[in-house]
Amino acid sequence: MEIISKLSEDALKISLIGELDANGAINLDRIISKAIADGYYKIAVDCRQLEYISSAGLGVFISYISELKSHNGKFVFYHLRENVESVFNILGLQKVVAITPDFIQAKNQLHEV
Amino acid sequence: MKSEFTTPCKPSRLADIRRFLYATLARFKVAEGVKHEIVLAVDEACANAIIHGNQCDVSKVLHLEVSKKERQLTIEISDVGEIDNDELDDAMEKSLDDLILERKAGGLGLKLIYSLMDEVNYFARDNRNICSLRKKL
Repeated sequence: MEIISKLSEDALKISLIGELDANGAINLDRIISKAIADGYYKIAVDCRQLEYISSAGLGVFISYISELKSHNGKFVFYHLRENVESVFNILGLQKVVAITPDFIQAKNQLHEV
Repeated sequence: MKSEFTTPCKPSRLADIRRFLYATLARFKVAEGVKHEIVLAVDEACANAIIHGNQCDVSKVLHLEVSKKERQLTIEISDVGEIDNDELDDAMEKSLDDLILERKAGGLGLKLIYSLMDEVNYFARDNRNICSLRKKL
């Protein structure tokens, strides 16, 4: 699992590459936790190269939703593959986080807070 | 048809478990969409056993047995870790809103397992914990 994070203005873009399971979730948690500590509350998550996600990976995002919200921030996920989107849907996550087809729309969503 | 896999209780071995499952399910000619559901459910059950049941103790092993009989697939995951049934019940009762509010994410794996499989049973046999998952094909 590879995670690339890039800061721009007031937002953080995270690109997830490979398979995000319980093993990779620890590193993701570290990256998000540091970004929030540094004052970044708007986070775009690029899932184009995300081949697999388990509940541990989604759990990391869930555990930060209310903290981001309290700072007028949010997660926006984009470019989800079908098998990844189906995991979001089974758990009902599509109702509590924004999912968009591409980065342009993700950026617009981030600034609609 | 039967296939088996044994691994130490190490989270980094979850990827190997998924590869074993994809290869086995392909050999059993399981349809693509169903294959992903089964791999996800078994991955969740194995992650629970490795992390919560065995505290990532690499001296302990997790054993998987996948069998297909007519149109039913059965996966048995066995280990010698500890199962806390109260903890399992608590985890299942939490809603997504509860988890967001509590800034926790426990129990999502169990929700996935129960959503994706037709039958889920936890029991003990020969001093080992068994998680038995069934799916009609």
